[in-house]
Amino acid sequence: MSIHTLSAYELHKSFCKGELKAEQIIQAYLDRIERYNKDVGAFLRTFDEKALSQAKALDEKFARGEKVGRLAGVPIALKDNMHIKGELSTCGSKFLTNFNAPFDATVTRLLENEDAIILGKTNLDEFAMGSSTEMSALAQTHNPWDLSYSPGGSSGGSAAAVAARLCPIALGSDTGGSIRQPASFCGVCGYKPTYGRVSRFGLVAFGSSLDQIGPFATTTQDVAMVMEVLGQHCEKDSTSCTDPSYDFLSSIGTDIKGLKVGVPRHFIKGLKGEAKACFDKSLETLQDLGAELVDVDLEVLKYSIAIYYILATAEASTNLARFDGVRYGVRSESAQTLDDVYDLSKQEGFGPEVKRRILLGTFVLSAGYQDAYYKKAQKVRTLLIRKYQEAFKKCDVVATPVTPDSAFKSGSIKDPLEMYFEDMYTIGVNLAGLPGISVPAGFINGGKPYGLQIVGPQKADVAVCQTAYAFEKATACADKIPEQFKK
Amino acid sequence: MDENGYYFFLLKQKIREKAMPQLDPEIIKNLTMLSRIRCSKEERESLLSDLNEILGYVEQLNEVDVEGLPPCNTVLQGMTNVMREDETGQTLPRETFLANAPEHISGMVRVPPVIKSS
Repeated sequence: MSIHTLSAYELHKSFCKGELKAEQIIQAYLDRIERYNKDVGAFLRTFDEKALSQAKALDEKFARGEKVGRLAGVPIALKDNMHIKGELSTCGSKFLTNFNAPFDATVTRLLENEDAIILGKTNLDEFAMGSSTEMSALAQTHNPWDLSYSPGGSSGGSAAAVAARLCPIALGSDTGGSIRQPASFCGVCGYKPTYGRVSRFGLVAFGSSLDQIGPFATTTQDVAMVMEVLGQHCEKDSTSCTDPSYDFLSSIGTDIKGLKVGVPRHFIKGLKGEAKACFDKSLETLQDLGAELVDVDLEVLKYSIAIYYILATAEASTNLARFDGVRYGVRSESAQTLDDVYDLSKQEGFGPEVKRRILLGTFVLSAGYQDAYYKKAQKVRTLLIRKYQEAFKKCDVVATPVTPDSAFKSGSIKDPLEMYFEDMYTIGVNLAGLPGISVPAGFINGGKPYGLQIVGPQKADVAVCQTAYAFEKATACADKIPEQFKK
Repeated sequence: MDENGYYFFLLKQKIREKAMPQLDPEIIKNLTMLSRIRCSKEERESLLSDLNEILGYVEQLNEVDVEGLPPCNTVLQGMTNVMREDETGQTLPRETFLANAPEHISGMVRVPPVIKSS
């Protein structure tokens, strides 16, 4: 039995039966990271000593017969925009290369309370702005299925880490598709919960009305296991959902006979070639499982990119104003005056995509333009939310592709607007605060993974996972490991 | 150019034909000042063309009838403003905070002089 071929659920069970020691599990994954990370570039740094000593302590706790947590024996990676007290949180930016988190994110605390062991932090597009992880100022991440291809982004490090089995679970953040798009590109499950289901406290903010933390995993069952731990009300996040945590694990096994799956055919009519064939086959699979397909009108989603690049940039421009070089971050060495501290630290610390979005956000919020852009986009967002609500009167979940196609070659998309189109199927979900999952659906274009997106109404997180779970069992492509990383 | 690439090429043509340039070099200069990011002339030129292209694209929102629709201010249905009691609590200890400060002196963050001394 190879440790890295087990799911997190299986690892946890083996640990609880005394078949595997936590130290064994952690060491096996640290060895794999040591061996493979130079090729994949998924991890920015690992916490070898700390992880091993936590593993030893957990083994001792188990040996004493004490109760262990729900994630005991499970190694986890965090995207480098979530805080672990005393560790760097770089956000993939030059600006934060010296920033040590002064407190734990709520997700960090919840994971550690359940005896999960954090292996390290993963790469991302700078401040989670991008769809390829190429905007990271610190490292290049490669797609484990073909190293010359992009892993997607912005949580590309977390997606690639799970795909190459450098960890069974990794957390990402999703503002416009940053969990689901890389999950689709890397052939793993990626889950974006209902807005507010997972606390954002300790996640460096990008677009506060859109950001949501969620897990990457190799199976939907693992997603469910982690969501039971992460989906808690948190009083430190004023947008946190006050519902008690949902019962994922005991519910996901229910079959989907009679489930109504909405398909917005008009909106996805641009889908072509092998991607279309794969999506059509996925719909057939859902039908074979007893689901009923219904047409839904979500043509309004064609405006999602336009709405998003007004609202997300507006929110980013205010959120990122705090990085001024005064209180933390890298202060420009050439700064002579206080104005220089602001102007030069930002000039030197931020990459081109971050500057582009801050400036665009500043423009759409500026006097004279706010009504035409920001307020207009807020109103169209209301329309989009209403259209989704109408659609969910006709169906239980909506199925769409995750991305227009499988992964693209690294460096092949240079135009910013063209890169934004990568998220055309995922952004609407963030705008409406809905839960959405990307589940592996097949391989296209010469062995590149391609995902199916299942979206539910707000708070229907369990129904989304249940559909994905049934689909995954029927397709059996979620447990595939890229050839190069099998051993 | 593959199929998607061609689609994108057509889309850009469409934007160029339809869109009026929104920004000029003066506005870009003003925006860099407002957002306190110094930019070289080359950076400003490339920002001008990128931002105009993006704004050209978002013009399509003008075709949507939003008459009578309220702006979306909260995402989660049923969410209301959350208040808490104004109680003192344990926040960041000063030394933890200052450990990240680029420069500090006597327990305070230090910046270059704001008022010139004669």
